[in-house]
Amino acid sequence: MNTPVSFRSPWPAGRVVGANDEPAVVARARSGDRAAFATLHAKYVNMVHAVVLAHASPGDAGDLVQEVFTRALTHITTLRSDETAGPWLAGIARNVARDSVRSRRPRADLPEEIPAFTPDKSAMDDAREILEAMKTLPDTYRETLAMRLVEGMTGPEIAGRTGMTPGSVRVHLHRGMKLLHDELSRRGLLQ
Amino acid sequence: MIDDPNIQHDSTGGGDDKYLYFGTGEPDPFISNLEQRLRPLRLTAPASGFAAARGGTRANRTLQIVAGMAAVALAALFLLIQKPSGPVPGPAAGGFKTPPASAPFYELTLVSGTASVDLRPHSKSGISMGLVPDRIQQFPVGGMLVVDNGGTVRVRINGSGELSNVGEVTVKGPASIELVESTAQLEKLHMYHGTMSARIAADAKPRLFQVTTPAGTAVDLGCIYEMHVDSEGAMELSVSVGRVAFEIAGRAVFVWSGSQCTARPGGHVTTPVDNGTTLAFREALQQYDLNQTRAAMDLLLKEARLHDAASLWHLIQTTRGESRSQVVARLAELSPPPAGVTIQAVTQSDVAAIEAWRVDIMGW
Repeated sequence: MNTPVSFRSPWPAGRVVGANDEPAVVARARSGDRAAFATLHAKYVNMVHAVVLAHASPGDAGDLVQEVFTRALTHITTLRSDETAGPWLAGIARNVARDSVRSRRPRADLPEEIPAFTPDKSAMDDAREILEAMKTLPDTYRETLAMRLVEGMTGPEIAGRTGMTPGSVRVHLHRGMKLLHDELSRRGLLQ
Repeated sequence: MIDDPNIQHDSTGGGDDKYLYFGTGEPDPFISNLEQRLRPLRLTAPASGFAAARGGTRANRTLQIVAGMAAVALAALFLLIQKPSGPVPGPAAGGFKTPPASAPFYELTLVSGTASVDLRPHSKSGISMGLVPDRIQQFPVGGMLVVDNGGTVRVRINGSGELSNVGEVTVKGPASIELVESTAQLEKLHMYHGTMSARIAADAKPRLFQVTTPAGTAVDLGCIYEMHVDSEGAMELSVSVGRVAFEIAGRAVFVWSGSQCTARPGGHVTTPVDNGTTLAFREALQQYDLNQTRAAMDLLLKEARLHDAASLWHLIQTTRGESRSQVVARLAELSPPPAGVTIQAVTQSDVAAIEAWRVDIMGW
């Protein structure tokens, strides 16, 4: 069996993320075509979820994703027809997530005794701890890592949806992984 | 070209760039560990499950709006799939065929890990539906099944003709498989890369189920087989029960129960070999497939035993002159030609004679 040395995309060039078709979809969405808006939703919802996770609490992520698309629906006419929706939606997601963090009241009702070690830590708790470590990274790294590690998007998909160049995505992934590794190590979260 | 030292030397997990960037190839232990541990946070069933994800929240109204729009979009997509428009550029088959109105969907069941169905070839807009455990997902013609690394998906092949259940294929990730055609005459998948095992119903017509790969086409002749296609398109086929014809560049090799062969794009296919053969014969055959030298031929003929007759038969097709004469002579010693087939006819490329000898050796 040959050892794989490089990945060849199964999709014909230019059709990986439907980038060639997006201006038409955006134009239809701007004119009130809800099916077109739903198409944008289906394409970008994972990216939006990742951006929200990179900034806000996972417990709020579902509501915040809804909020992002509500705002997008309300302000769709501000999106130019020749623009791709990805960077625009990512910007809304960033603002919505940051607003939610700012408006969140600090919890004053913490229990007096907090267990230092929880042997039966759940998988969700573990995921949240890694996410917290990820949030110490610069914005661009943490968002890119959330798309890759949480949502399972590939580098080309991330580039296609965010508008970043493949080279930038690659650099963000590599630098971000190194920083995340160091942070997880510092927190004793490496397995 | 990216000039970044982190890319040349990944100090996090010792892996290379391919897994981190493309998500394919040998999984980097550190990255795959994080993927596994972060999975509870992943958005599930993004296209169709969005509405069900959160109920009774402040965004309930938005939820209803978006859910409605998603339903409209999916309905439109369904109509698009059914629409009898012109062919869309596709894989090796030369283009996707528009399914007839009654074309059934294949059914997908997520066994483990994560996977999704991508409908981009028809929607052009990137609609992707994540598979959910214990829930059957439809797989239409033109759809792409993408199974993530570590994932397993079961595909039930619902027939379009007399047979309602043609069989079942189990796909192990990382894998990308497309449903190219589903008609009464042909059920065709295209496997870009990945690992699959197929179990085809005994009463399915020969040649009904076919899997194209970058290296060639596996044509089911009634059997159970396993196939792996790597990211370069190289293919390895192993038949457990029954037989498969692997067709490549105008030529077919016949892979029988308990044998295997490999192929790669560009018309290269190895001679099928029985799993029970001797190591000496296997190595000699590999040498001959790599470089057709006289020494390699002499060695493999010397090492050939009775259960290597089917391998030798394939060499009749690929040899000429004295080499062919030697192959035919040795094959005749191991498995004499049936009545009506002469050595001379076979040596002179009499197709009917060669085929009759094959049937006598393989039994089908």
